[in-house]
Amino acid sequence: MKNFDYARPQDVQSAAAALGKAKGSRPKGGGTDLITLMKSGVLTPPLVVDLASIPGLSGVSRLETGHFRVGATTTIAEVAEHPELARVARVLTDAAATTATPLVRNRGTVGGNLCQRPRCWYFRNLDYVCSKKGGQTCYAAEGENKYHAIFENVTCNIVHPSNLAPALWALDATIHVAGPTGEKSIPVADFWVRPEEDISTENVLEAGEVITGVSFAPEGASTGSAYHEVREKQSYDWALVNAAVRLDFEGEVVKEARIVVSAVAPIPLRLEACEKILKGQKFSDALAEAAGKAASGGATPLRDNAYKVHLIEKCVKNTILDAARRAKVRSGEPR
Amino acid sequence: MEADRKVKLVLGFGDQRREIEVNVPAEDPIPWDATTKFSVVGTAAPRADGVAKVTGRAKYTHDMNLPGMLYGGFVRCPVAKATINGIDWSAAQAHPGVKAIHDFKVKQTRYAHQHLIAIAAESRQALEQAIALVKVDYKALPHAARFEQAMVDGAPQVHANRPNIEAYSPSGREKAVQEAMQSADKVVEATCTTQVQNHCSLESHGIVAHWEGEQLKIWASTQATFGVRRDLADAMNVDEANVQVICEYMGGGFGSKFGAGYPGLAAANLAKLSGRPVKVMLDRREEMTDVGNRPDSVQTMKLGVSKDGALGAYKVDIVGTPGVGRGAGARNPMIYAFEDRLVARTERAVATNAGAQQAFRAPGHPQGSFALETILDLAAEAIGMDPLEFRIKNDPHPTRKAQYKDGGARIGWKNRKPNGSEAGRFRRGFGVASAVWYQIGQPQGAEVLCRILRDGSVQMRNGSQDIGTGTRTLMQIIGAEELGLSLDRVVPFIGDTRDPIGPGSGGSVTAPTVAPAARQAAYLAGKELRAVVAKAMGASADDLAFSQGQVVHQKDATKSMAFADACKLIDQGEISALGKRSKNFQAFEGTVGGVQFAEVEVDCDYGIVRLKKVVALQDAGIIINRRQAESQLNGGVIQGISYALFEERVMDRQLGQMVNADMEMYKIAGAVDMPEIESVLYDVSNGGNTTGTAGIAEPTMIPTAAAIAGAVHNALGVRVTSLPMTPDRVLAALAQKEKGK
Ligand SMILES: Cc1cc2nc3c(=O)[nH]c(=O)nc-3n(C[C@H](O)[C@H](O)[C@H](O)COP(=O)(O)OP(=O)(O)OC[C@H]3O[C@@H](n4cnc5c(N)ncnc54)[C@H](O)[C@@H]3O)c2cc1C
Repeated sequence: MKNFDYARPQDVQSAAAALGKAKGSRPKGGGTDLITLMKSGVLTPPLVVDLASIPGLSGVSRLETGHFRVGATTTIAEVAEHPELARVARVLTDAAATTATPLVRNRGTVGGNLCQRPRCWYFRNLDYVCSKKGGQTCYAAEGENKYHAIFENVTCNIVHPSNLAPALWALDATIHVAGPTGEKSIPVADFWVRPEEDISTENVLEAGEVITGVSFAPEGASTGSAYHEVREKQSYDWALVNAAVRLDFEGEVVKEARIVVSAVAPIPLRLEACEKILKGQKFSDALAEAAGKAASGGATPLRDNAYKVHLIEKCVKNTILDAARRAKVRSGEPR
Repeated sequence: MEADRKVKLVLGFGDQRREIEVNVPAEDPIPWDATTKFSVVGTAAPRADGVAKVTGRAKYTHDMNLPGMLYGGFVRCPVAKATINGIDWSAAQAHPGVKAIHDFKVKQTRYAHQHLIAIAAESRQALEQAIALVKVDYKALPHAARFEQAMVDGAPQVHANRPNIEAYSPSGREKAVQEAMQSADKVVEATCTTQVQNHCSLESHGIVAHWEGEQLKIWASTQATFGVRRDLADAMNVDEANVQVICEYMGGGFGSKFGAGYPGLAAANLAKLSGRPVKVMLDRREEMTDVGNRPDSVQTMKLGVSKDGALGAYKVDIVGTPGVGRGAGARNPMIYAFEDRLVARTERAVATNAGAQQAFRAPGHPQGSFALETILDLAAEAIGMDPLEFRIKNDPHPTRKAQYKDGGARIGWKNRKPNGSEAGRFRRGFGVASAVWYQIGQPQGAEVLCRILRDGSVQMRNGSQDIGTGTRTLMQIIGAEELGLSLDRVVPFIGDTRDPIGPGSGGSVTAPTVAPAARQAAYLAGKELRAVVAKAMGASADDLAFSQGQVVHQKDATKSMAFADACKLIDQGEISALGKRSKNFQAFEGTVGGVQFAEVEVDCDYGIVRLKKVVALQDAGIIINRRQAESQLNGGVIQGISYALFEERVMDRQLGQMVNADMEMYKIAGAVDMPEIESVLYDVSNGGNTTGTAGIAEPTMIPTAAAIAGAVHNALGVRVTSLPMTPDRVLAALAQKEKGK
C-alpha cells in the first residue's frame, strides 16, 4: 500500500475542504472497500478523510416533512435491523440484510455502499490496464465475463455492486451531498454516471463532495415493497442479478410501480417498460409474469452470461409477487 | 529375545465377522480386534490442543516473530509465458530496508505470477516498496493458460521439450471391451467435466528460517516436517542432523504442503545471506497461483449394462490439465465394481500455462467419482432400476453393502420419486455415491518415544505433524489406553524433528502409521514399569496389568497400587521406550468403504441447488477418537459440497492470469450453505496393524459431489454433467431438457 495522509475532521465542511485540496483524495466510511483497493494499488489517494468521527452523520431520523433520513455513516447493520425502517421501507432493510457478511455490515456504511467501486476482476487487478483504469480495452468483453453486464455494456462491462442503490431508487430517495461549494440534493435517479459519459466513475460526485445522507418518503398502508437477489452462495456472495420493487395499490389495482434492477449493468437500471405493464392494472400472477418477461428487453449478453437474462426475468417476477404479498394483495408469505 | 506369537483375531463388524490368525512380533502387544474392551479408545475425546487453539495460545508458523526477523517476499512475472531478458534489482537493493536478495535464475516463465526473485526486508512495507522497485525486462509470449487453448492444433507449446498433450499407455483391453459392449442390453454414454480446485488452506504456505551457525532452525506450515528437513538439508548442503523443523500447529495443507518448496528455499537462502531470521508467508493470490491445485478433467464414458442391472464393459477417456506439472489423471474409485478385463481406460495430461497441480485430498478421486457415478445413474435410469438398488447389486464390498441400506434409511430414500417427476419451482431429489480407500499405514513409517516419569506423568513423542487431523490427540489416547490412564496423565508432543521419525501426512497414512508405533512404545514402556513393580512387590510381571490409573495385580487385588506410586519405584529417573512401526498384516478387507447420500432442493427459477441433508457413512477401521473422526467426516463433506457447488479457478484467456485469485470470487461454501450433515462412523475391527486403524481423511471427500449430482438429476430429470453446479450450468441442463421434449 502506498503511504497516505489521514485526517479525522469534526465537521462536513472541513472534510469537503480537505478532500478538495489534493487530487484523488478519498473520504472513508467503514473502509471495507476503500482499504482493499488501496492495498491492491488500484486507488492511491494521497489523503484519506475519515467521516466516522463527524457528529450527526450517523443514524436514522424522521424529518419534519415526515420523510425518513439515514445518515451517510449509518452502518448497513443498523439499517438492516431498524424496526421502524422495516415497516416503512422494507425494500431497503431487506437489501441491507442481504448485503455481505455480518462483519462487513457492522463496519460498512450507507455512503460507502453507494460509492463502492465495481467488483469486476479486471478492474480490481492492477496488471490489467483496462479502459476504466485509463487503458484501451475492456478485458471483460472477450474475456471471462460470467458475472458481467448484460445491459448497456458497450464501453465497459462492469455491474454496479451496491445492494442499497436499487432499493433506494425504488423508494425514489434523495441523496444529500455536501461539497466545497455547499450542499445539494440529488434525486437518486440522477446520481449515476454511465461509462459513456465518464468511464472513470459511477456517480456524479465531484472532488470534495461527500454524501451526508439519504432521505425518502415512508411507504403508505397500501404499498408493498421487496428486494430479491440471486446469488450462487447463500452465505455472503455478490448478486448475479437483483431487483427492488415498490408497488402502490388502490384496492387490487397497481397505482404506481418502481422496478429497479442492478448487478446487470454499469449502473442500476429503472425498468419503466415493466412498470408500464403493471400500472393501472388489476394485480395478478400473470401480470407479474408479463412484467418479469419484459425485464430482459434489450439485453445484450456476453459469451458467458446469457443465463443472467433468464435470471433477471424470474427475479423481477418473484420480487413483484413478494411486493404484492407485502401489500396484502396477494396471499402467501414472502420468501 | 522373545519369539513371535501366533494370535487369533476376530475382524469385521456386526454380523460380518471372521477369525484370522496372525503372527505378532514379540515387541508388539496383542492387536486390538472386535473382542477388545476399550476404556478411552473410541470415545469422543476433546482435542489435546483444543484450548490452546481457541485461546490463541497455539503458535502457528504465521505467529512466529523472532528478534531481528526480516520479511521475505517475491517478485513475480504477471504474464502467462515470457522470456526473462533481465531483472534489474539495483533500486531495490539500494532501499535502506532491504537486507538480502535471492535469485531463482528463471529464464523462461510458464505461468502467470511465477516467482523470479526473493527479497528480505526489515518490514512488510519495506518489502512491498522494494518489490515495486524491481524492473523485470520480459518479453511476453503466446500462451495456453486455458484447457481449450492448449488442446487446439498449433497451440503455443507450454514446455520447450515436450508436446502439450501427454498420453498414457492404453490398457490393451479395448477390443474385449468393444466386443462386450456389443452384447450389452443397453449402452449409455456421457461426458463429464470438472473444474480446477484450489487447496485454500486457511494458513498459507510459510516458513521462518533461522541460522545459528551451521544449525538451521525452521518453523514451517507443513504436512511433512521430515520432508522439509530433507529438502532444506539437500538444498543448503548441510547435514540433516543440523536442520531442525518445527511445526507444532498448522492451518491446513490438503496435499499442497509436502516439502520446503520455493518459499522454504527463499527463506533459508535469505536468512543465510542476511544473517537474520527470515519469515516468508505467501499472500492469498500467491497461495492461489503458485503452490498447487486439483487438476480439472473431461471424462468421456461409455458403459454397457444388462436389463437385470449387471454391469458390463466400461470405457473411459480422461483428459486433464496439470498446469506446468505432470499427471492429471482422474481415478475412478467405483472401479472395484467392474471386472478388470472389461475396463478400458485412456488418459491424457494436457500441459497449460498455469500453476502446477499438487496432491489434493484423494487425488483424482472426486473428479473420477463425479463422472463414474454419473454414468452409473444414467445406466440405472436406462434400465429403469433404482440407483441405490443398482449399487447394492453391483458393489461387492461388505461394509458398503451395509452402508447402502443403513444410509438409505437415514436419508429417507423411500421418499425418492422417479427422476424428473417433480414439477414446480422447487424440486426435491435424492442421490447416492460411494468411496473407497486403501490405507492401513506404512510399515517402518514411524517411531514414537514413550517416557514414563517418576511423577507418574507420561509423554508420547513423535516428530511428524498434526495437520488438524488430530494426530497429537491420537497419541495421547493410545498412551492412555495402553497404560490404563486418564487422558490428562498423558502429554503428547508432536511437530519437532528432534523427536522420532514420522510420515508425511499424505494418503491418509498418518493415523494408521503413527498409532501402532505409539501403541508399541507405550506397551514396551509399560512392560518395563511392570518389571520394576514386579521386582519391588515380589510378583510376576505377567500378573500385572494397567487399568483405571492402577497397576493391577490380576490374582491378588490387595497388591494393586496406584500408577503414580508405581512410578516412584523407578530408580533411573524415568523409563523410556521407542516404539517402532511393525509390518502390516492381513486386514478385514483390503480397502475401507464409504457411502454418502444427499437430499437437495433445486430452485428451478434460478438454477440454485440447495442442500437439505447429507448422510455420510465411513469405515476407518477401529475408531480411536470418535469426535475427531466425525470431524474428519464433516470436513470432507463440507469440502465436497464446496467443490460440488462453488469452487472454480477461472483463468483469463487474454493475459492468462487467474482472475479470481482471492477468497471473494473464488467461492467457498460458508456456514449458511451447509445442510444438516449426519456423519456415521462404521466401526470395523480392521486388523492390518496392532491398532486396527485405517486412514479416513481422504475418502470422506470423494463421493460428496457425485451424491449431490445424483440428487439434482433425480430432482430435475436431467443430469448436470459439469462441476461446479452453479446456476448457469443448472439452467443450461434444464434448457437442454426442455429442448429435448
Ligand atoms: C466479502 C464482502 C462481500 C460483500 N457483499 C456485498 C453485497 O452483497 N452487496 C453489497 O452491496 N455490497 C457488498 N459488499 C461491499 C460492502 O457493502 C461495501 O464494502 C461497503 O458497503 C462499503 O462501505 P464502507 O463504509 O466500508 O465504504 P468505504 O470503503 O469507506 O468507501 C467505499 C467508497 O465510497 C467512498 N465513500 C465512502 N463514504 C462516502 C461518502 N459519505 N460520500 C462519498 N463517498 C464516500 C470512499 O471514498 C470509497 O471510494 C461486500 C464486501 C465484502 C468485503
